[in-house]
Amino acid sequence: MPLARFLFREIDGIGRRAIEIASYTLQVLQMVYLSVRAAIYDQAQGLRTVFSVVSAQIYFTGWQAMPLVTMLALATGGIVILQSSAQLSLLGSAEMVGNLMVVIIVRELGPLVTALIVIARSGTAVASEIGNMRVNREIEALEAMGINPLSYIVFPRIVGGVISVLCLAFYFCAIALLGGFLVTRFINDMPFAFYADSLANAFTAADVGLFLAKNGFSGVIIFIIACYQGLLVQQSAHEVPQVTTKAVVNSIIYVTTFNLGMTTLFYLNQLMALGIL
Amino acid sequence: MKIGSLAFKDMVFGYGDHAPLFGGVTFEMPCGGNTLVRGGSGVGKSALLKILAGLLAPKSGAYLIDGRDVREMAFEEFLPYRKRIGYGFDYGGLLANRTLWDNLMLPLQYHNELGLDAAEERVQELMGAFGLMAFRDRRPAAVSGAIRKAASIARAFVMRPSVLILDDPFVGLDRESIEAMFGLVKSHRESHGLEHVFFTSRGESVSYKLADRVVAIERGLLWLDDGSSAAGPGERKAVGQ
Repeated sequence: MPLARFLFREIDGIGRRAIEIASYTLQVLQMVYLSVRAAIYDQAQGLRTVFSVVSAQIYFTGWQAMPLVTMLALATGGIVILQSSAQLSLLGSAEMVGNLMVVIIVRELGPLVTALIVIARSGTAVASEIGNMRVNREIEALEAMGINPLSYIVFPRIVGGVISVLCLAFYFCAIALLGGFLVTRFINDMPFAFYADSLANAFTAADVGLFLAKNGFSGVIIFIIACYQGLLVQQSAHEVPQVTTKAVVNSIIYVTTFNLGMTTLFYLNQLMALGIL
Repeated sequence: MKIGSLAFKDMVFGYGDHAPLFGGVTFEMPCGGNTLVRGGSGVGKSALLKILAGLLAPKSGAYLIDGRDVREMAFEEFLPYRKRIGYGFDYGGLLANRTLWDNLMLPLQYHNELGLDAAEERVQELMGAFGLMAFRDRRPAAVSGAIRKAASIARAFVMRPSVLILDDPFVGLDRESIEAMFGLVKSHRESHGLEHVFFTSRGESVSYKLADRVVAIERGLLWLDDGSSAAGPGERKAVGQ
């Protein structure tokens, strides 16, 4: 009986947690819907207003993150090239270096590392900014002026965020693939033409689709969670760091889970195409 | 667009899990003139004003503007009413990343209410009335509380509202700014379509100078008092429920 009680208690706990996660996910999705709806219905909000917030978001999220992304991309690309070329040479498959780089950098590390950088830099900034706006009654003031916060604050941040994440991920991959090769040039005797040819042969149209899906949706996830958490602040400034932390944790969980799911679907699809499944 | 009536029907409101501030209020807010909303600390004066402005929704019952239930309206459906309601916050409410000038320009520009020159002229006039032009390019954090308060009240006038709602307008304002506010209420009523003014007070005697009547909040209900005087509200005329 004690064992049964323990098991039921554990199952109850798992069930409660699952319901919490489902409820949270639904609320976040509802906010995506309401933001898009508000942006479409808001006749007053011209493209100029949206463009100014979107461009500011791209500047803060994309442009200002470039030095950090450059450094991480160079390091990641360099490490993967060194490790993979050394191992592949031992196996006599040096021409596979391009495939390995595409799989590791373009399909996996590029989207994931970019998302983590954006969460750390911009997800926190957006959550705390909106949280502080709640405390200072700026959100209420917008509503009082007839400005829908969902179309004025949330929607442009999602759009700016998606554009930034896509551009940053592309930049990360480019720097990791090419810059990584160049920084390891002095200890790696692989000819560039050989490396470039191997890379060109490795890219497929499916990689482009996977890249766009992973990074586009990661951008949506990061910024919608940051905005949602920020708007959860009620009245007190001490709530701001709490919602910021929650935004980071939830964004990481949702982005990594989403990336894992996309990768799984991608490989299942490939196995089906090969007739293995 | 004019707003003719504001009424509550079985309106219940409370913050979160706290005890309700209003427990089933059926009441027609007195329209026309200046109405002081009176009550002790924490009885729900600010909450009532926010419900009137559509910033808070009743938990149950109805808040009716011209007979239409605000709870039933989507943001865009309520927008025409919202644009005719000016709201001055008791504190905060100015956008921190905009200058005082931009804070006042924002609603006019966002709603394309006026051309740029006309909008600037209106904002200049309002800021001038409160003596804010010297601070026009400063952000809210860089000015004193009195300046922020005056800017918040000035912004409430900027769309030339039909309903003006001011939460604790006298707290933190100097005598000149209070006189300016009285002057703006008078001039907007005479020539810019202002019809109904609702404001709260912490019992400042100057508040009775502006008030034509008093609505009191007691025991979670609204009560109408007529014949207000400098000493306070007079005979109780109507019961909220």
